[in-house]
Amino acid sequence: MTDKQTVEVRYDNKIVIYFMMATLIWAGAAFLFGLVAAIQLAWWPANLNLEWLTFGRLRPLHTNAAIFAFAGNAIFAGIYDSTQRLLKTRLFSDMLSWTHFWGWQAIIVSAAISLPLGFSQSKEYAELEWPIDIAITLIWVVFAINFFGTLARRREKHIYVAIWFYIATIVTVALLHIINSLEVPVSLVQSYPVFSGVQDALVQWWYGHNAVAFFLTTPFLGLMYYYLPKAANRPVYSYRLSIVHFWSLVFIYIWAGPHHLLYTALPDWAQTLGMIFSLMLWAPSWGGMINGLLTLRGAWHLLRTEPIIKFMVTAVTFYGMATFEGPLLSIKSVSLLGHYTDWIIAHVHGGALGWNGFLTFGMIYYLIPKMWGREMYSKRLMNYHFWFGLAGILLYYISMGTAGITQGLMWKAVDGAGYLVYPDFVETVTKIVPLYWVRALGGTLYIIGYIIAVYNIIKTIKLSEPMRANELVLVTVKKAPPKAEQEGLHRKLEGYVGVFTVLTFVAILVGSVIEIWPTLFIHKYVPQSEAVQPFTALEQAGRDIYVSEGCYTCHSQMIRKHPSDVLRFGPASTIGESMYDRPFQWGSKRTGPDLARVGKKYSNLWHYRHMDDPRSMVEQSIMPRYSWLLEKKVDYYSLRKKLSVLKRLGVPYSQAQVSEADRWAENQAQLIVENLKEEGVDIKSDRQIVALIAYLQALGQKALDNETALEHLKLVPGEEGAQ
Amino acid sequence: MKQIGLSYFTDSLMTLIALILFFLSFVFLIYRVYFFEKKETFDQLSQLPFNDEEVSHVEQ
Repeated sequence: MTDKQTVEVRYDNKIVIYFMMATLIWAGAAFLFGLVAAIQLAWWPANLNLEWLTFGRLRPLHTNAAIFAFAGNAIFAGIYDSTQRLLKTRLFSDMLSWTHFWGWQAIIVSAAISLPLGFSQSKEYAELEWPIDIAITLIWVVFAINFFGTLARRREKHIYVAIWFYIATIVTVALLHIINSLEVPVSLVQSYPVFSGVQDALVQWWYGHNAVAFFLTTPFLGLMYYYLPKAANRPVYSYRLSIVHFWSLVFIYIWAGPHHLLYTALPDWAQTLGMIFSLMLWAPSWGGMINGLLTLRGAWHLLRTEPIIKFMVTAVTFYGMATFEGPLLSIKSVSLLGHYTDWIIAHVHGGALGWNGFLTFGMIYYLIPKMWGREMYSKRLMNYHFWFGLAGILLYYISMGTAGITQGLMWKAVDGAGYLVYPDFVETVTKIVPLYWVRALGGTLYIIGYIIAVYNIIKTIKLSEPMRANELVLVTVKKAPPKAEQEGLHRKLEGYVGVFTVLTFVAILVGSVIEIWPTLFIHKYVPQSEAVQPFTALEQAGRDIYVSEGCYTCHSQMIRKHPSDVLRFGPASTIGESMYDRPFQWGSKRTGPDLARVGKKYSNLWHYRHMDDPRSMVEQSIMPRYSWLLEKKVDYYSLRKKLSVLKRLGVPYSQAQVSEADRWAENQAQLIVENLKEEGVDIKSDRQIVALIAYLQALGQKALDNETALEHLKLVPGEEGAQ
Repeated sequence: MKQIGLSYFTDSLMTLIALILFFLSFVFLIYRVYFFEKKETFDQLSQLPFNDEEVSHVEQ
């Protein structure tokens, strides 16, 4: 009696094709937004004086489009295709598949509309507002049910390594997204996060780093483990290594988030943990890279002849480079040089364009002929795409790496007498502007490669028979595994999806809990000397404008504990100073100077003119104009609701401050208006610029004994010096 | 209570125990995978991506 039987399986190719086409369409949008943003940094008029196209709004649109629209659709295409085939069964539910597809596209469209309009939480890769956050959660649940439902009715008992990485992705992204999106709505388009200051910073970078880990790495590793062997027609180099790779990676990666916060006000123990675990990541990451590359053992000639292999091998090589550079940048002393500079931008794009981009294109070039039943229209065009793309990445990487290291060194340069060699921040910016042009050229080359790919794909499809929407195949299924195969703990584990998923969840939970839990109570132990007053109603209104405009994309609010930072910007930032900040605005990039202590550094008039036309105050500035702030109004009445929500979240506002928030704001606005009038500027008190000036003047000026801050408390109607 | 819990993070003995636990888990994983489980099993598993179809015919 045979232990095998042949069964018919009807694979759902249509959903894979749709996700693949969405990948290609959104890729164009993501690349274009990136190119425009790159040009804006080289040539500020490219902001076009349109508020919805300024860098602060366009940059989040670019990152969200690249991560969730381009890479997101790519991984869904790859996961749905490979999962069906590895498990020898059709996807669990067609209805769920299409709900997933259209739901995800609707989320992307919502992001594309809301981000340019300034509806943003200003937390990197988590900018989208609460209704979209809920939609993401629901669609992710749909995806999870569809995926685990498929696993439940699989015809292959053992789940292949690619599936493990998909499981880790689904479980971890759900946890990351839900925890980092805990927020209380103020209106349909605004919310305040539950966490504040250092807590928000740690949770955000736990999320932010692991968005890279579990959205841009683990699913792509799964795709690598499936599509590279398929394209090369040989099994993965070492299945054993893949087991060690998987468990080490998912356990260690989750701890690495704090390396984004080195030398900040985050407690040192958390910084050290982040650094150590980042260094440990070298081993599993390179284990994975080696496993991928050595899959081609004995078939390296394919690299010369097969463009798909070129794309995939280069992608894995970039994965190796990025995962070498990441831990390197996590070493405290290296971070001191690289953090806040374009070196980080170079690092990210090496990973995104090289690893994610090239693996995606390799996968698409593999899938198109399968789905349409004919070879690609032109191998030569595939090669052109490869070389344009590679040249683009290299130009991008080299220019931004050079810019970052140059600027980092200029920031740190101190002369023999202990003074900064380059005290004017703008001097360190103009120095690297030529490199911004080189970066834009690199991006252009990458886009040319993309256009060639789209043309090649369209020609292929036009010349093909109709797509294989539903593919009927005969597969061999084992009735029961022979006894000998049942040996081995991991082999058994691979047969039990539930246990495997729980163990994966435990692996990512350990680091998450140990790092985040203690930080949740840290504000209770802030010394009185570091505690601050909350922002006034007007300052909070200004802060909301700052958040909405995405100022964090160019300005940090965190002076690191290092002489070069302290010399330039003032005393190092403390935990207490941002303890009421929702969201935190520590930032990750300094295209402009740090603003943590900008309050009272310049006059109200200086800020007014600077926002209207930055060049009128700083001749070489590359900042866009924000002239509309002089025209647009602030809804002071909404401040009652906002302060009420903040009070509920723990900000110590009095009842009078909340119920009179609008009049409190107007009273303070009047002071600024009068001051501006004395300087010859006539402006109404309800304009956004007034609130923003109030906020900027408050930065670093909220100490409990600060006289100006205490004076502002007396502006609350019916209350003398609240608090 | 929370303060006591937080104070453990500066306790070098606790961090050392954690390090040893993590290291032993890693050694156990390596041992099981490289010295306990059979190579033939893994060879078979690595072929899974190639067992996805025998005969293919297309329907729209």
